[in-house]
Amino acid sequence: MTSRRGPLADTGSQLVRWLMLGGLALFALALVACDGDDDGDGTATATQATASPTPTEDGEDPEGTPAGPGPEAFTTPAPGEGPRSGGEIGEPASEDVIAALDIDVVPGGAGLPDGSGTVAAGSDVYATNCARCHGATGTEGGIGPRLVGEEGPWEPGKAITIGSYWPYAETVYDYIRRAMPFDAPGSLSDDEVYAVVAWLLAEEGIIEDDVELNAETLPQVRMPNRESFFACWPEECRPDVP
Amino acid sequence: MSDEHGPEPARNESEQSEVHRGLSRRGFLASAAAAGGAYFLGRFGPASAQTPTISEDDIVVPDDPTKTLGMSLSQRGLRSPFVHVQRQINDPNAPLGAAGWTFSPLQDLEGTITPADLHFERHHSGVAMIDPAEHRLVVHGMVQQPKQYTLWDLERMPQESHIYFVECSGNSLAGYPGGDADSTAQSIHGLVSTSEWVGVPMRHIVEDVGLDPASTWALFEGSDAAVMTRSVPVEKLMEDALIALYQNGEPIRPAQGYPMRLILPGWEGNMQIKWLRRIEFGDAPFYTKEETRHYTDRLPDGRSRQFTYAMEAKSVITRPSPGQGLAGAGRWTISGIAWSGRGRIERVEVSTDGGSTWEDAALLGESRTRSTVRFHHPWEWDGEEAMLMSRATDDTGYVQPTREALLEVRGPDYTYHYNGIQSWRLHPDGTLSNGYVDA
Repeated sequence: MTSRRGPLADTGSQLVRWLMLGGLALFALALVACDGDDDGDGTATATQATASPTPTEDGEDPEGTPAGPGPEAFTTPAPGEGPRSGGEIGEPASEDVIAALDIDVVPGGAGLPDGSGTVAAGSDVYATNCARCHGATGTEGGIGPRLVGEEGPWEPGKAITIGSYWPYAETVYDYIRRAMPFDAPGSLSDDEVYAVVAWLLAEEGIIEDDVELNAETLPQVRMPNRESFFACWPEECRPDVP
Repeated sequence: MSDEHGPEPARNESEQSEVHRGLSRRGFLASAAAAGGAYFLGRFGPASAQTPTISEDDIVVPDDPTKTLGMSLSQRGLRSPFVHVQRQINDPNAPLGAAGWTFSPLQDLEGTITPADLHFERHHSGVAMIDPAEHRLVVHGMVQQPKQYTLWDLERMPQESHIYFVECSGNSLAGYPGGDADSTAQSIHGLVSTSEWVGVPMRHIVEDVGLDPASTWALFEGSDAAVMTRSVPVEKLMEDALIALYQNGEPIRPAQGYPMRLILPGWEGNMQIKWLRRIEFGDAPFYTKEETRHYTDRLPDGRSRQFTYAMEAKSVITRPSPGQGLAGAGRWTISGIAWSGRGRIERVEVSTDGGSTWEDAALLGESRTRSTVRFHHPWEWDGEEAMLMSRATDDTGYVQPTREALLEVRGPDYTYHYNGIQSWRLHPDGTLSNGYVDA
């Protein structure tokens, strides 16, 4: 009896959800359905309503405990219903696991993927994916910031653009690939990212229009504001006010 | 957008459902009747039929609470209908609602701990909703054994509890231009919050993977839509960094990085990566966008400071402050908070005459390293215009500077790390305004 109640309760709550979708007119029926399997004993159904992984009907013991790793496991419940083990903490991360996450691209070009992109192709990538936030030519800004149209190195009074301020072209690639477009992050192919970086840098006059960017050529790009940055770690620049 | 009404962490659902069976149908009815089934589903999510039994709509305030039965028990508490505390969204009309920040209501809070649902927010691409069963923290790079950890793995490692503030690097940036006359403690300084954080010290992770002694930097990466990244010096990781799992006694909320986030005590908030999914050890900074294009400090000579991490000593009077008022001359308590990213606050002074004279304020409770401390100062107001200021000193001997001193060194293009003395102008009618703006 006890072990059957959980699934019934689940059916009941599913019913409630669907009826609520149907609107207020059906809502009273949902309450009847909910009442129907309560029988004044609320506790037995409690475990069934817990989070995934949903215990199977057979997986529940008479106490209503969800199927777990067995009596040898730590008896105080670990938080949630996730995997438990009394063995090693954590497990070795395989090369595949790491490769799937390891997307950073750093100065010098480490992390740049295969592929390439041209300025011409980048013009199309920009128009399709970027112009709606950054403006038709990237000089306007809008929902997103202005991107291009200022010469570096930066000095007071100048606009902050990729060309006037960003110290590394690798960072431009890294950022666009990881976080842009804002409303569809990670949707550009590696080639499309190369292309749109090429277009942005060409718009800033940093590379020629016929340059193709790839893992070999991108790290050769020298950004105009690069020498303007100085590190405040490990030797700190502050306090700067007595 | 914010976390309060999102799905609850999986670890809590069994307790919730237990309570739900006995008590919740009234709540179903009340919620649905008040707002309709579609609203109900949207608010609490179809995967969670559990619901608080009491909502704001249920509250009735009787004329005499001793002659009317009180309200029911409930699964989650509510604030009094007479208490109106909420975060302030920087720009509610911004087209990118997921990218921006919300200010904590400093003027409405006392003590030091910020309720988790009022902790300031700064998200670059929205709040990530993460199923902890699917989440892994992968640690690799210059280590002997790359590893991956589940939330439950981290639960089994030695943990520590600390009360630290987290402050956005851009907090108080309105102070450089000065802000508006009607700026408030919340709208200028509300990007700081203080919590009890419980989690695994990074040094345990470092030991577990066998860090290469030649490694000096690590990249921390979030699992949000910005896949946020910052480089952190290994030296800081070994000193006091924490992989936090709990905030003020509960699992960290989604808006603060559930299921796990980095805490770097005293350092700028942006580095304290939320929704942490990856740590890569290396021997150089990774020069991410957030440590090149952003979170660098532009100087009048055109150069830019990089890797300016500590949030320096600061204080602000939260009561009275703009938006509040004094009913008239007489005895009042000036209240505020002070904090330092370099250590412990040793002293807070208060001036009511625009900085001509200063008096020591009382520090309430323990002053902890890299945490906020509350100060109180009794004051007899004579009803004349007054300029209220506070000035913090930390245990390095550093004294919170004036706005003028900061501007002189940093110039008009500096954005971050503003910690100048805030002044509030108290007008004879008892209202207050931002003292940076001429009356």
